[in-house]
Amino acid sequence: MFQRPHSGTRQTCARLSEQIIGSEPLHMTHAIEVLDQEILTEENLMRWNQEDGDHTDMKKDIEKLIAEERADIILKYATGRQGGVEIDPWEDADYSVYKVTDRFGFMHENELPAPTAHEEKLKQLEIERAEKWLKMVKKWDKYKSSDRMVKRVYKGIPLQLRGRAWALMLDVERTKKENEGKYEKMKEQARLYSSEIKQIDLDINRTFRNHIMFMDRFGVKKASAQCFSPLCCRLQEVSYCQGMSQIAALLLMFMNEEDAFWALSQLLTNQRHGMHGFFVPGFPKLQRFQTHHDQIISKLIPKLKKHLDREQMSAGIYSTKWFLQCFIDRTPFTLTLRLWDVFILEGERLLTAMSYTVLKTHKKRLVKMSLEELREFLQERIAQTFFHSDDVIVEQLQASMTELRKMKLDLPPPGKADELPRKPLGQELPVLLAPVQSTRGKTSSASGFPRTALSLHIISHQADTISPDQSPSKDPRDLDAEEDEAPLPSPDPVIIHSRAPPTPGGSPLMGPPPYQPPGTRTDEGRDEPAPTSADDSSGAERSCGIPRTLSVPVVQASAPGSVPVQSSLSAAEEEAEDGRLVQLLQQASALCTDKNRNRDSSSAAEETPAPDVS
Amino acid sequence: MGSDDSYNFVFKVVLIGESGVGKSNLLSRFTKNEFNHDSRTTIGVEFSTRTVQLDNYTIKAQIWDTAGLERYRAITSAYYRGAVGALLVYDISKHLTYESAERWLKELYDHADPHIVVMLVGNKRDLDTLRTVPMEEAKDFAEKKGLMYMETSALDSTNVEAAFNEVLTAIHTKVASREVTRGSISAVTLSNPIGPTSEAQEGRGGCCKSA
Repeated sequence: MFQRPHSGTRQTCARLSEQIIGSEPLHMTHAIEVLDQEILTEENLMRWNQEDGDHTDMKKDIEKLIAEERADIILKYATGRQGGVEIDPWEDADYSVYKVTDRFGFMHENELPAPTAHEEKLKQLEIERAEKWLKMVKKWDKYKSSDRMVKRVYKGIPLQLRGRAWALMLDVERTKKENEGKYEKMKEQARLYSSEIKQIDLDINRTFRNHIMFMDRFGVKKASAQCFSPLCCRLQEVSYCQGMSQIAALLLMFMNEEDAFWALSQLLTNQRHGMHGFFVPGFPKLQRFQTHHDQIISKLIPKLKKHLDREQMSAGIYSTKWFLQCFIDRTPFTLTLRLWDVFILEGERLLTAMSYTVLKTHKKRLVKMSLEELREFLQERIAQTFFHSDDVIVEQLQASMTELRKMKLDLPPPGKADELPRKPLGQELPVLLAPVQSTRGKTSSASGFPRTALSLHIISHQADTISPDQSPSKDPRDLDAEEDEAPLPSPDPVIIHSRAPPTPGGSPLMGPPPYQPPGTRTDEGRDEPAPTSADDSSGAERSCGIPRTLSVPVVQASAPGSVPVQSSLSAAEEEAEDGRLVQLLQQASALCTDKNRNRDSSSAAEETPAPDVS
Repeated sequence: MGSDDSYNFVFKVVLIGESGVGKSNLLSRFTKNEFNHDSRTTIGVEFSTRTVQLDNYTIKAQIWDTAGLERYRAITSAYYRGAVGALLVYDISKHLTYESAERWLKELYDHADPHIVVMLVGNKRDLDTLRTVPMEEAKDFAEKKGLMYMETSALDSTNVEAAFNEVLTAIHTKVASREVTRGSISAVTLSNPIGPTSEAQEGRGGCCKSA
């Protein structure tokens, strides 16, 4: 943990909170500086307290706290458990209570009962199926569009081959080949400036904690975190959203890190699954599927629908996790896996059909239940036991699919463009790398030139931070902010992605926009061809024409109104730029004669470590 | 299970605050006396109920737990409607979660009844050694904003009962004293995400629910 400034500073922070409130990832602007540990010294505290009234300065401090917290998380994952990271006792799952691990890797408190004859039979069956599957995966091209394969997926993919089968169905190999090297690169990039690291870390530690792969804090499951962060870069429009960590974790149970990454990437972006639309701000696809779900049940199980309405149990309450996570946590795990087999094969129609199947299967029970009972049943009870075997449910599911297809209800009307990603693969955030003189003049002189005179300034903006009042020219605070910033030693800051104006739009010191209630958000304008992919923010934000990233003014100047501009850099150019970025970081680190920290030699990301004050 | 035979009022209370501050565990501690380290992230909204006795009234507290992540507010804010009480939760060991209290408050007042009873709750009091939010500071803030205030620990149960009970009592007092008209604070609204109920449904359980 970091030492934090104490109450004086804090009160100012509170006062500022209305403008700043930077703790949500979406509202974060980052100023990540490589500063030495002295930034949180008494001296600084005093100075900050003296400047109590200086909002800009305080804002910067909050930014810094956020940045430090983030750097700390990265460092902890990089160091890992063995490296001696400090772990609060609560962060670990309590191993002592877990005695046994089941075949899926879940740990249990009590000895598992001996397998029943039925279970033994199933196991035997699975071994036979595994042989068949082995044949199929070896000759995938031959089988991939065969009825036999489809039939076998519905029967359940054997555990040992699930990962491979999923990868084949999702075309992971091809995607991986087409993007060779990209994964490592994006991982680096995410570590450098993904604003989502904190939220991901928070969620990672609550994801499948009772699973053997995810039980260690900063342990094996760090793979999961690593799998995620690059995605945030890759798909800025989705960025990270709670709910995704469980999907990633599920994939990681069966695949290695990189494959899981590409699988997740496929699930989010391909046409069959298009989970992107479920997670982008506003949840357009969720709303579309829930509306459709209501229609289906009104038509096909009207009595139950009326009962649900009477009890005020809306689809919004019970089905959100069904759609966003394809039934993870909402059905027994064995059934979840079966559903995922079908989901990966068939795509989104599984969601429609299964939601209907759940209600249809239990409708006699459900019509007698009160609101609380309904909630308990749909969210907890059927996650323990579904009252029928998995095979029976999958049969029901198939029947529902046929039924819905006949009635042309198998899928909702197509979604709007706002559900799809607009940015090309690996679209990178604009980065401004500038040698910046330490803003803490006193400390820098005290600690010697090379160490503090150069700080690394990475500025990244999330779309959601841009709002009308943030227009630099309108906001006097920004002017203050600039004045406050120490002059650059070099008149020409190095712009890595050549899209970011160094100032004033690039000032990291702007607070996030005043909060806009979601109610004001509209979908209008999403389809307008914007010069950039201003994708998610409110209509008001869009109408002011301020684009999503701070890079845009430059883009607009160079090629107004064309989306592809941002991605028009050739691969070679991009590569060169990336190379330069790494080089610069290395230079920066060389100058920054920081104490010998365990550094992953390959990772320039380590250049933004947090002061390890504990 | 959950439903009770009769009650005089249903009070809808929402739990709001940043992700990871312990909202879901406060809920499960209050309604089931459980604490779960492995608590999953809340996706969208969930709720749970508990019936309590206040004076001679039976109050059914219907507590709605919401996802803390910004993006989910598009979904969750609809469920503020009809709420007569709110616990705005932050983590005493994470200052940033406290700093956003003001924004949550605004969010709440934008969507809920203006007379809603709000308590600022500093959770994870058991992590006192890691405290970054001084009690005095939070107290001052609460006072300034006219909020009730308490520090709790869902982990060791400290003040969880007390926090909920104070909020429920305050709501009850407001309702009983008719300080607010029935229409404006429908002490009774049953989880109505579609529209606020226009009328108090006092004794709903008495007439419709009993046996």
